[in-house]
Amino acid sequence: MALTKVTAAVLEPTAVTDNISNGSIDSDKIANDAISYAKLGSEFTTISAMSTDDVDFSSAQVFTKTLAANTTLTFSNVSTGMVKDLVITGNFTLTLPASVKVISGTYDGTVSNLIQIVSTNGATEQWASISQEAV
Amino acid sequence: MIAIDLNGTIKTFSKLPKVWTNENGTHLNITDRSSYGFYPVVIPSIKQSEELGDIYFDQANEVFTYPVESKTYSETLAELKEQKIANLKSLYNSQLAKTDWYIIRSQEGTAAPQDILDERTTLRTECATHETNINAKTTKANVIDYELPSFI
Repeated sequence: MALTKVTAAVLEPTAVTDNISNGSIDSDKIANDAISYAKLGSEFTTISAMSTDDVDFSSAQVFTKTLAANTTLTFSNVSTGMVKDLVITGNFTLTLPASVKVISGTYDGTVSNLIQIVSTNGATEQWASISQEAV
Repeated sequence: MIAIDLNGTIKTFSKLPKVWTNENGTHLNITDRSSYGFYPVVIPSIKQSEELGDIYFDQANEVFTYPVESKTYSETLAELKEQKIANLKSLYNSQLAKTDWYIIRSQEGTAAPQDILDERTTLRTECATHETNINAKTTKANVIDYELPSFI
């Protein structure tokens, strides 16, 4: 019975590179609730201690940095809908790309700041909210 | 207060903005305000006959400030003096009114206390002195800036 569900494409060498056509992923291929956290890519699950000033949206979920001087961050590989978390401290001026609009909060250089970035239009527009630990 | 020149338009803030966006990015926690074009605003003290003009950047002192300009008055010097003296007399009249009842009572047979009479005399003398001073002023600004006494 299971053999009837094996398509020709799977048997072809190109099966791993061919696009899966629209609507073709159904419960026969991936069961509901089957994708676990462990199966997510590292861009969704890892923390990156930033050694440069670029936030590569495709490389990690959480980015940490301690500012040692006024710092200008750049964003790369930004796509609409991506949400990334920056945990930044250091009492210096932090400059985000001009495409970032701050929704709420202010940066406090004396404590750790969680800056959550949501891309609402690829690299063109992101929204940021800044918060600190409640004391 | 702090201000920045944005392409010829000077924008003022009560304090340095926590978030500042310009063509170079969105800046948080600005620590070196002048490198972003923010400078303090100095408001000159002015007299009653003066007013502040449009804010400008004082390059030499690295502050935003206002020119002090003289107000213009449509009234003549004599008219301004007349107004000032009317205000003066109104002020002193209010002070005298506080003890008027002593004088009214004295008409009915109870003499007003001497200190009250002396006080009223002093008030009249002061008022006359101020009136003389006002009349001696030769410019509109001097008349406007002449400070009337405060009895508060």
